[in-house]
Amino acid sequence: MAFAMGTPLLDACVLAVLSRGDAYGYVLTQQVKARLDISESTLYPVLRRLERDGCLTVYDQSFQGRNRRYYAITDIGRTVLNKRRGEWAVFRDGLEELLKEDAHG
Amino acid sequence: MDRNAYLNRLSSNLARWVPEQERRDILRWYEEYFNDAGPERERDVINELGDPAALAWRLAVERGYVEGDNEPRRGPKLWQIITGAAIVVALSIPIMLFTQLATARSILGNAVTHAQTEVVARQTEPPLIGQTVFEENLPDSGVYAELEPFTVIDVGIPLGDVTVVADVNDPYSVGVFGDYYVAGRRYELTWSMENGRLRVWGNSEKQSSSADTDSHGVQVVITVPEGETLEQIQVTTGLGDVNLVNVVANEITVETGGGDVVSSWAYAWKKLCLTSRLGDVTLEGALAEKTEVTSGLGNVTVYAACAEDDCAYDLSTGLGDVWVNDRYCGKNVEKKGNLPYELEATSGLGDIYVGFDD
Repeated sequence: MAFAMGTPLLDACVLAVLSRGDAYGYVLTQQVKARLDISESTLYPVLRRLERDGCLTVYDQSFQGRNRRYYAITDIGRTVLNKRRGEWAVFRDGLEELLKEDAHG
Repeated sequence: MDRNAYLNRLSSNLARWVPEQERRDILRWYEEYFNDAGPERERDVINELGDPAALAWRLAVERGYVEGDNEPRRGPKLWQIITGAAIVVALSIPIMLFTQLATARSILGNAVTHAQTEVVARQTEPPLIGQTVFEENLPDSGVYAELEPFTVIDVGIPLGDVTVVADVNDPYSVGVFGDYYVAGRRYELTWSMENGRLRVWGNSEKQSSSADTDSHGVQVVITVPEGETLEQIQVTTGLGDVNLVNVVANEITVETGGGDVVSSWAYAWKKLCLTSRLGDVTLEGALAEKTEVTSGLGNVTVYAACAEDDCAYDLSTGLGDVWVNDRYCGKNVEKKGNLPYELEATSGLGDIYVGFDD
């Protein structure tokens, strides 16, 4: 990918996935990977940071005799996600305006 | 390599660059990742994560502990992993094994002590000599050099891991890293480039003042641009793993005394010969006209990229079992015929598994 994903966007991606339901690390990563060329090594610090900032919480649930660590979005997380969504819409519109193929531009 | 081996390798590689607390945090995440995926997907996860040394490097770069390449790419090139900082990978050979070097040497005999092969020259150039830098307690002592094209690779070292890899972005290069002491004797690796022929060998006669047995990671990494066909690749190491990735040559011969051999989509037109005295041998990819895989004590695994009908084979083990495409074949099985590929697999104590394309 030629475009770098900055911290705010990565945060928003993870929060958006979690806003659809709690997820454990592997599934969360697979969901992001399915859409973007982003590896688990990039996502792990994002999760840590979001946890530290109170945007998500972590809980363990046993599954077939082993523990799975689930991540859940918090109210703070939802607020941050909505803020990012708004910022992204502005950013995206601006970019599209600049990049659009228009000979008379 | 299973999950635990993977995590251990990741941990030892991270230790070179990443502070302990963060390292623990990272490892916990990867443990969780394996847990989440479950044992049935362990292999998928390992494939997905890729080489643990490369992953450790990527993590270190992403966290700013080492300066990385700004170019976006799937993973770092091998030589960057190695030149960027020290090799801890090679330390995965337990130090206690070093005392067994003498044993490994006697097993291999002359192959190890004088493992130098004469090969055909293509160009005439002044020799270029590189030598490892010695500084005690400096694990990343070593040299790396980009080279003019070579057609022959000839590695004969008493100890160390050897990797030969071809990749689109790779130059012709050699990296020689680490040094080691065994029973008061200092060993060093040296390489030379002459007439299209790259040689790496070990000097063992230097006397060290201390009687310590110590190692600073010994590793040889050679890269070749993808798509180039070499004349010959010959690798002999007394103790260490050998990895071939993607390289193409007319003839490939690999032999290690104690260590695993893995050939992953390396291709030899005429002859491919892989041997480990004590470790496992794994071959994945196309077969050569004649392919020989041999292990003394370990298992032999071949994932052949050809149909079973196209291959004549002779597989035999002393004490293990032989399997072909999940069919149990007892202690030996032979299929004769005048076929394009010929495969001979032998193991003394281990199992032999051969899988063909459907």
